[in-house]
Amino acid sequence: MSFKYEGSSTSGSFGWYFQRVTGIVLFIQVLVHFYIAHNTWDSGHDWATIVERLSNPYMRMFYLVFVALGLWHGLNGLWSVIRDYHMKPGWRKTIFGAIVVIGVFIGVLGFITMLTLPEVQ
Amino acid sequence: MRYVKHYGTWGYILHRLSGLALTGYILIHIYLVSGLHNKPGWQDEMQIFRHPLLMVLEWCLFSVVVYHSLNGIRIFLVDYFNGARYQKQLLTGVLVLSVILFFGMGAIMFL
Repeated sequence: MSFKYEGSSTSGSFGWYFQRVTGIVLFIQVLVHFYIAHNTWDSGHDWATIVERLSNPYMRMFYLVFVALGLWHGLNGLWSVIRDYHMKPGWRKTIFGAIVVIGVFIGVLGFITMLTLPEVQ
Repeated sequence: MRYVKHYGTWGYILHRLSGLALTGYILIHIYLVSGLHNKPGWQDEMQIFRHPLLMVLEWCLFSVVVYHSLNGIRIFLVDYFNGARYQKQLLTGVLVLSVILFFGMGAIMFL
């Protein structure tokens, strides 16, 4: 990855391509997420309802993918916006590093939440 | 950065702003959901989501998600299906559909 100022036209094609792939997957996932998790007040906010729903392993797999792709899509978008602004390479490296650290930290937190939730009593 | 503000540029600007807002939101959302490990704390915390102001904010969040999703489809059409030829009509469609879904969800949530 180059940290020179490039603007949006000549940046890496993997990020451009994967932003679209994740966008499509997230579009479907966000519809499912809204439908199952925010259909009623209880489905989104009641502890027992949520934990019972997430005791289904397929539900957990869904959310592991959702967290990973959502964070990547969001933070890649953030980096794309920042990369369009002219700044010193040192700043660009620092900001890129901060984005990666935030992404890994929140991603691991989300994974731990999903994988270590208590079973329904 | 300065933009030449054609009609379609507003779609681009709104897509960036809504994307930044959603990225901030998803970070907070994943952090808050990690609170599921503390059952009593979670139940106290969630009571604030009964407040009308929070419900209005959730309504706004829904609208931002809707706009970003619909304009995402527009971007996809522009990139892969020659949508640049009709991107202005597509943006009008995105905006009209967003407003309809905004009021539709408002009716579902508050009526």
